[in-house]
Amino acid sequence: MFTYTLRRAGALIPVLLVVSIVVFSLGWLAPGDPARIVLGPEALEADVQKLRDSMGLNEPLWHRYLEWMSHAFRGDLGTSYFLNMPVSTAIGQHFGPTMQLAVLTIVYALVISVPLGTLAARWRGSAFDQGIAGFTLIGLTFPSFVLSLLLVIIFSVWLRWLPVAGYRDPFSDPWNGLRYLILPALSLGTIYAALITRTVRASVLDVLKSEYVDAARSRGVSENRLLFAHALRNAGLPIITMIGLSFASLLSGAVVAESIFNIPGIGSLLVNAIERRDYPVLQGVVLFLTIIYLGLNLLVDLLYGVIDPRVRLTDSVVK
Amino acid sequence: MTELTQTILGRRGGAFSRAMQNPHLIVGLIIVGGMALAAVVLPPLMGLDSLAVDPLNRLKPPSVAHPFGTDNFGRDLAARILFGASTSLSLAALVTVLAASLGVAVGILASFSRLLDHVIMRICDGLMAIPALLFALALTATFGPNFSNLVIALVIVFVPGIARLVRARALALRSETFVEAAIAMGGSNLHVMARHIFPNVLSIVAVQVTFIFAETIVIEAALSFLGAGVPPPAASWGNILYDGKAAITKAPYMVLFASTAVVITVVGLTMIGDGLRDLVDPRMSAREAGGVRRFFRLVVPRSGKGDHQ
Amino acid sequence: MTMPLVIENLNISFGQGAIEAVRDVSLELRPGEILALVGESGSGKSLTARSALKMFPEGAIVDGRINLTGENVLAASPKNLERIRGKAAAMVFQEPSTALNPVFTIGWQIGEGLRAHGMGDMRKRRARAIELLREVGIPDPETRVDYYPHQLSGGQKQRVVIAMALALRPAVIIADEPTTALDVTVQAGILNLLRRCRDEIGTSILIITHNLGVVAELADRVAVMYQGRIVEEASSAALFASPQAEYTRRLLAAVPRLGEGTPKEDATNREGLVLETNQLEITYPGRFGRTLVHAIRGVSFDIAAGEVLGLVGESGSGKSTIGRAVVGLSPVTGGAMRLFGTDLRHVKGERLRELRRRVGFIFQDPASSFNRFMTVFDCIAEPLRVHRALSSASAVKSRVLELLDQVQLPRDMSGRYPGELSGGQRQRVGLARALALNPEFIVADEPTSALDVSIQAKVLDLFKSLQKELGFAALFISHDLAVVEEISHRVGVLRHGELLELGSAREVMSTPHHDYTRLLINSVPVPDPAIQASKRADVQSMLSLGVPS
Repeated sequence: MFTYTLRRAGALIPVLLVVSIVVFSLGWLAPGDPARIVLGPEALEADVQKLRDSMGLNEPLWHRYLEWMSHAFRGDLGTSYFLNMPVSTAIGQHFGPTMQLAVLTIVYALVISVPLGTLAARWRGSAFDQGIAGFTLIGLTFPSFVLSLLLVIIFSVWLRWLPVAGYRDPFSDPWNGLRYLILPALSLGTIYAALITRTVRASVLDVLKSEYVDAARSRGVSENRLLFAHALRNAGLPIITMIGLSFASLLSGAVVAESIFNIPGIGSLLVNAIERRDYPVLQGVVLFLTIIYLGLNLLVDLLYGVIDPRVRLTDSVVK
Repeated sequence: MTELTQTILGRRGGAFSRAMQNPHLIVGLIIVGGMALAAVVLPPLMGLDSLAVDPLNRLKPPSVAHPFGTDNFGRDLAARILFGASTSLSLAALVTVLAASLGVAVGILASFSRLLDHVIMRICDGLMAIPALLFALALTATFGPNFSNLVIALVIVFVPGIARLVRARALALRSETFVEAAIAMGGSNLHVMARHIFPNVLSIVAVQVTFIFAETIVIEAALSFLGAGVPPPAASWGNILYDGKAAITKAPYMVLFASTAVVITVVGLTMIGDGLRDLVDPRMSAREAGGVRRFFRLVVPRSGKGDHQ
Repeated sequence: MTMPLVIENLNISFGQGAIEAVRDVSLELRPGEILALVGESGSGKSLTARSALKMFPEGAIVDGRINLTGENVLAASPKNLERIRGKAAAMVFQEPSTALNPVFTIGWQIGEGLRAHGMGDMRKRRARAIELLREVGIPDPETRVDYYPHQLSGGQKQRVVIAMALALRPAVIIADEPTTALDVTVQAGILNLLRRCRDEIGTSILIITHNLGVVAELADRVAVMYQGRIVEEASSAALFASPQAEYTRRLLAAVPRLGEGTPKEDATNREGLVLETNQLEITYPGRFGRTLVHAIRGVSFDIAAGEVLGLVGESGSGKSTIGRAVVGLSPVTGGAMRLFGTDLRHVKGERLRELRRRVGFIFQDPASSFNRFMTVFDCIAEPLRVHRALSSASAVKSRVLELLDQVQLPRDMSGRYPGELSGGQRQRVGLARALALNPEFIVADEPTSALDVSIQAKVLDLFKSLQKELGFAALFISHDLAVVEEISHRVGVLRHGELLELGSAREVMSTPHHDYTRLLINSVPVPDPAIQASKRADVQSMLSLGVPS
C-alpha cells in the first residue's frame, strides 16, 4: 500500500510540471506590459522600467519561470495588481464561500443520489426506474447555469421565496446564510445528483449481474444483503470516483454559479481578475484549483486501494 | 464482381437502414439539423436583424411583431437567438473538426513510438489536469475574447482528450488478434494503421465528436455569460443569457427562450451521440453507459482513468 | 424414498416464446447419484440445471414442475427460496474467478452462506470455514481463510467454490462445467474432490459438461441434451458401450481419443528443415524493475518440410509464445530460431515481411481474429493484397473463391461479415486466410479450443486433408493431447517454458519418458468408464506425489 501511494503520488510530478508551464505561460502570453498595467497608462516610462526591473520582467524567460516556480512552491503566488495583497491571501479570503457551497451541494446530492440510484437498480425496469431515468436526463442536458437561471425565475421571481442573489456568512447569520445558499446549492446539486444517481444505478446493476452475486444468491443470501453487502461495496469504486470528481468539479465549476448568485468565492475572484486583467490572480486561481483537483484525484486513487484488495496487495502477490 | 458488390452494398444498406431505425439518431439529427436550417434560412427570409436597436421597445414581452419579445436594448429576441444559433453551431463545428483531426493525428502518432508516446501523453495529462471551463476561461482571457481566439482556446482544451482516447484505442487495437494477424501475415505498419486501426478508431471518435460538439456549445455559452466569450453586441446564447440575467425580474422570458435553445440543442446532440454509440457498439446500451463523464468535462479534467497502458 | 431432485416437463423460452431454449425436459436425480447432463453449447443444459434453484436469466418464461427435496421450487416464495438455496442444493460454477467476489476474503464469503442460514456467531463461522477449506484440500487453511480470491490459483479457487457449496451439507450439488476453465491435471483433482463429496458425504451431484471424458470419469448416469431436448438417458456404462440416439453416436465419434490417432509414417526428409530452434530463450521484461519473465528456456526442436509437429502444454507452459515467435510476434531473446534458415533474432523490416509471407498463422479465437469492418472476402484477400501476390483484382477474386471451396464454405459467404458467421465457419475462414499465399509452413495456435467437439472434429479433418493435399509443414499448438496426437507426426511436451519430451506421436503417447507427460496423459479423462475406473488410482497417486508444482 505504501509503494502504491508513492507510485500514485509520483505520477503527479510530470503532470504538475506541465500544469506549471501552462499556467506560467498564461502570464507570459498575456497582452500588455504587467508593469504598465500596474502603474496605469499615465505613468512615466522611467517608472515603468524601474518596476519592470524590480518585478524581474527583464530576466530571461526560463529564469522567470524558475523564479515563479520556486515562489509558488513556497505558497507565494505573487501579488495582485489591484487588490494590494498577495494572491494566496486573496484566495484564502475567497475560499470560504466556495467551500461552503461545495459542501452543501455535495451533501444534498449524495443524500438523494445514492439511495435513488441503488433502488432504481434494485427495481430496474419499473415505473420508479423510468422516473429516475427522466431525472438523470436533466443532469445530462441542462448546463448548470441554465438550471440556475430557471430556478431563480421559479423560486425568486415568480414564487418570491428566496433571494435572487447575494451572500451572507452562514456562520454569523445561519438563517440568512442558508437562505442565500439554497438556490445555488439546489441548482448545482440537482445536476450532480442526477449524474451520481446514474453512476450508482449503472454500477450497482453491473455488480448485480455478475456471477459472484449469482453464486451468493445460490447460497441463499437474501436480495437485500446482496444489494447492500456485495453490490454497494463492489460498486464503490466507480461511485467514489464519481463523488471525487463531483467535488473537484464543484470547486472549479462554481465559477459560473458564483457569478450568477454574486457569491464572493474563488469564482468571483477569477471573473473579476479576468475583467481587470489581473494575471497573477488568474494564474494563482488556476494553479490552486488544479492542484486541489489533482489532490482529490489522488485521494480517490488511494481509496481504491482501501476498497479493492487487488490494488492494495499487488506488491505481495501470493501464488 | 457484380454479385459481390451487391452483397457488400446490401450490407452497407443494412448499416444505413439500421441508422434509420435508430430513433435517438433520427430525432437528434432532426433537432440539430432543424436548428441549423432555421439559423441559416429564417433571418434573411423574415428580414431579421439581431443588432437593430429600438430604445422605445425595450424588454417587451412576446408579441406578433416580436414573437420572442425584445431585449434590454429593444433588439428582437427571435433574431438574436437565431443569430446566436449560427454563432454557436459554426463555432462548435469548427472546434470539433479541428480538435478531432488534430487529436486523431496526435493520438495515432503517439501510438507509433514509445518515446513520442511518453512525451505526448505527459503533456496531455498536464493539459487535462486543468478543469476545462477554467482552462478555456484562462486562455480566452489571455488571448482576448473574439471568435477566432475562442476557437483556438477550445481546440487546445479538447485536443488532449481526443488524442488520449485515440492513442488508448490504437494501443488496445494493436494487441487485438486481428491486428496481430495482419502483422503476422506480413502487413506493413502503414497497412495496419490504414486498414485496421484507423477504421476502428474512427468509430469511437465519431461518437466522441458529437459530445464535444455539445460541450463546445455549453462552454461557449458559459464563457459568453461570464464575459469572456463572443464579445457583445454580437449575438450568442451566452450573451443573451447574460443580458437576460440582468433583466431577470422584469423579463424572465429572455432567459427562458435562450435556455430552451441551449437545452434543445444539447438534447439533440446527446441523442445523436447515444444513437451513434448504439450503431458503433451495440453492446453498450445508451442508457447504461457514458454521458456522465461528458458533463464533467465541462468543468473538470477529462481524466483517462484506466487507459494508462 | 423421495428423490433429491425431480424435474418434470420443464420448458424455458425467451422473447415471448420466440426462442425455445429448453423443451419438455424431465429428469430425476437419485440419492447419492452423480448424474451428468451432457450437450454442446446452446443445448440448454445450463438453463435446465440452474432451474433447480430457480436461477433464470432475465426474460425467461418457465413452465413445468421442479421438486427439490420435496419442495416445489418454481412456486416457492422468495423467503422459501432463500432457505432452499444453499441448504437443499448448492451450485459450483464454471469460472471460479468470477464466482468469487474479488473484494472480500474467501473466509468471509464462505461465512456468508452460513450466516444466511442462521449461524450468527462470527467466530463459529470462521472456524467452520477453516474446516471446510481443509476438507476440500486447501493447504494451510488457517492462513488462507483470510486470503482474497486473487491470491489463489485457479484450481484452489474452484476448491473454495466447492467448499462453499458443501458448507451446509446440501442434498444436491449442481456443478456447471466445473472443470472447463482448468488445466487437465487440475481438472483431475477437482473431479476427484467431487467424487469424494458423493462418497463421503452422500451428496447427489448433477454435473453439467460438454466433455465426455469427464462424464466417463464421474457419472453414474448420463442425460444427453440436444437443441433443448433430452435425446438419450442411460447409465454411464450403457451409454458409452451402446449409444442409442443418433446424436449421441455422432458426439462420441467426434471426440478425439488418446492412443487412437492414425499412425502416420514419418516419411519426411529431415534435410529440408522449415523451422529449427536451438536453445531458444524468450524473456519478457518485467514492469517497473520487477524480475524478468522467462517464458521459454532452452528449447530445441526442428520441423522438416511437410511435417506436423504438435506442441502440448498447460496454461503458462509457453506453447503459444513459441508459435508467436515464429512470425515475430514474440521476441527471440536467446539461442536461435531459424525459419527457412534465417535466424529470426536479427531479422527486421522487409526481410521479416518476406519470411512472414511464407508462413500462415491460425489463431485460437476466430471471433476476434477478424476486423469487423471487413467482409469475409476482404479478410481472405488481405494477405494477397498485402504482398501484391496477384496482379489483377479478378485474379484475387478467383483465388479467394478457390480458397472458399478448399475450406468447404459456400462462395456466397464472401460478402458476409465475420460477425455473422458461426465459430466453425469463422475458423474455416481463418484457415483460408492462412492458406491464401500457399505457405510452406503453418502455425496453428489452439485453432479448435474455442469450438464445440463435433465442429472441432470437422475442422480437424479439414486441416488434416488439406495438409496431406498441399503438403505444408505445421506447428500445431494445443492443450488437448488427443487433438495433438491425431494431427501430428511428432509431439513435444512443454512445461514452464521447458521442452520435457519430444518424439513421434505414437512414442510419446504410448511410452512417455517423463513423469509429467505420463501425468498429463493419465489426467485426460477418456470417454470410457471402464478405462477411467482402472486408471483413477494411478492418477490420484501421481497427483498426490505432486509431480507438477
